[in-house]
Amino acid sequence: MRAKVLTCAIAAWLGFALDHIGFSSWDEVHRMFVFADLRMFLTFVGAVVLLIPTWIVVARLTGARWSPRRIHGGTLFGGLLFGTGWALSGACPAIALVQLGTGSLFAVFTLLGIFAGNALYPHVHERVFGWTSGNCLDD
Amino acid sequence: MDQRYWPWWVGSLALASVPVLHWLLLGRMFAVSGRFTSLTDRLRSRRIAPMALDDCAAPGAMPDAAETAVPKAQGPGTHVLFLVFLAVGGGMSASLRGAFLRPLSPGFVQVFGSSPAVLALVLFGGGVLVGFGTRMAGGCTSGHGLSGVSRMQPGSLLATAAFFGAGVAVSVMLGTGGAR
Repeated sequence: MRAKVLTCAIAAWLGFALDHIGFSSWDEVHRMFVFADLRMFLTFVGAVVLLIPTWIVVARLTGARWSPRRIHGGTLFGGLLFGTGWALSGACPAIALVQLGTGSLFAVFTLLGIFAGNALYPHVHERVFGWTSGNCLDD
Repeated sequence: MDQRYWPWWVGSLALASVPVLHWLLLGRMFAVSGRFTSLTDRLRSRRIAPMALDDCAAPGAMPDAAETAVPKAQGPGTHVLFLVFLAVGGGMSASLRGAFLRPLSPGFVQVFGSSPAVLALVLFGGGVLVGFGTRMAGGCTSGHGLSGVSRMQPGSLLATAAFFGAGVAVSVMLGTGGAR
C-alpha cells in the first residue's frame, strides 16, 4: 500500500514537472531538437549533471548497486526508431500520458501506438533478431 | 517565459529529483517504458515471448543484475496507477499554467495539416515507433536518458545519442522548431 501511494505521488510529480518543463508540447520538443531554444536541452543536461554525483553519494551511503545497461543488438537501432517516433508524435512513453492529462485527447492515438509497438516487438524479436537484451526489462 | 514554463535550472532540479525519489522511496531504478512492457506482457500473458523472460526470470541468469535489496516486482495495478497519475500530474500542471485543453500544437498542425485522420495516423505511427524502439533499445528517455546516462552506462549513452540524434534529424527534415 505504502509503495502504491508513493508510486502515485512520484508519478504525479513527474507528470507535473514534465509539463512545467514543456515536454508535453510538440512545438517545445521540436524547438529543443533543432536547438532553436536551449531551455529544455539545458534542463535535461542539467538533470543528468546533477544526478551523476548524486548516484555516487547514494551508492556510498547505501551500498546500492544497479543493473548495468549494456550495449546489445537493439540499442542503436531501437534508439533511432524511438527518436524518429518521438519527433513525429512529440511524445516519449511518459509524455503520452501527460499529454492526455493536459486534455490533449489526440494523445490517445499516440498511447495506442506505444502499446501496439511495445506488444509487437517480441514477435519481431523472436522471428528476426534474437539477441539477449542484457537488461532486465522491468528495471 | 512563454506559457509559464520553468527556467532550465528549476526544471533540472525537478527532473533530477524523480529518479532519486524513485530509488530512495521505491527501491527501484526509475524507468517508464519497462512499465509499458510489463503491462503488454501481462495482457498477452498466455504466451510471454522468451526475451521477456530470459533476462529476468532465472535467478543468476544475469550476473551483476541484483540490486542491493531486490524489491518484489510491481504488479500491473501499480503500473496502471503510475500511468494514471502521470496524467493527473500533467493535468494539474497544465491547469496551473492556464494550458488545460489547449488545441494541438500549431507547429504540428502546420507540418501535417489539419485533417484529424492524418494527424491521428501520424500520432499512432509515431507511437508505434516509440513503443517498438524503446523496447528494442531496452529503455526510453527516463531509463536510458536520465537514469542510465547519469550512471555512465554504455548502453544508455549509445541509446540516448541515437534517439536524440534521430529526433534532431527528423525535426530538421520536417523543418520544425521555428519561432513562437
